[in-house]
Amino acid sequence: MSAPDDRDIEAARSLVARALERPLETIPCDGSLETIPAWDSLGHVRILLEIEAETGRMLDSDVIAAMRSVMDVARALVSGARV
Amino acid sequence: MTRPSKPIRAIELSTDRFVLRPIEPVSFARRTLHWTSDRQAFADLTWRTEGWTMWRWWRHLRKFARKNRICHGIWAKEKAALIGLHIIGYEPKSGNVNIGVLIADRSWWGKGVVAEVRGAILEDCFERLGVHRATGWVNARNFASIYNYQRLGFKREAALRDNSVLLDGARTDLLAFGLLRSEWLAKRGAVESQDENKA
Repeated sequence: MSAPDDRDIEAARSLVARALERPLETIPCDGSLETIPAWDSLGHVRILLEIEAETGRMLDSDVIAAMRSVMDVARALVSGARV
Repeated sequence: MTRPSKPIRAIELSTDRFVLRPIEPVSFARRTLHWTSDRQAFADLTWRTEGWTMWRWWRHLRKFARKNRICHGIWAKEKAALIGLHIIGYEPKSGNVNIGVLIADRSWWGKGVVAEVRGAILEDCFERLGVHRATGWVNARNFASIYNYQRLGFKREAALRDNSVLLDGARTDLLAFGLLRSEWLAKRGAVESQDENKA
């Protein structure tokens, strides 16, 4: 699987900001569910559903279980887009 | 390794917003029979409770009041309302527990109940009861529950492929999340030292 580039990471930040209903500038590239206060359980649900909507496919359980950061979102978008 | 030598005994626990009281099955069943008609709330516990009578509900709850099991009712302090239950199944030989939770009052969904309540329960398990590890099972489409395990430091340890049947009949993986006592203590220590640094 290719590593996410800057554009993928920006797309991930944007997706997380949209799902958490927070301004883009509050979502750092290295942010995670432990460091972004708005990333709560409902926000987490919205993030995963947004990724599925974006990629048009259901996420694999390995990806779901590992999803905890903006970089994880970026990786899921990259792998989903290339399937 | 610390390991409980006696049968475990449930005690009342308290958090900022909730009180956790060991249930008495008869009165608990009476108060909560209406919960059993909510399929979605019970989906993750894989209990198919629709149409249950008081008798059937009581018989089910009674299992969780037996030796080596603890069932806490979750009471919201603010409204003195019963909103859910938390279950612990203890395995004496291994010193391990399996855990499960139900938040039946949907107005509390998404408000951090599980993280707060389970934090107190894990602290009790690891500190007072000397439990070695905790395991939780969750279907892969229950994103909120997976989030709660992640926040508390659980690690995903296994996936039983296509093991769970969802309410719509679709199949999904069943995931096992585990947390060791040493990991819990390390996480708690890290949080405490962060708090000290802030102060």
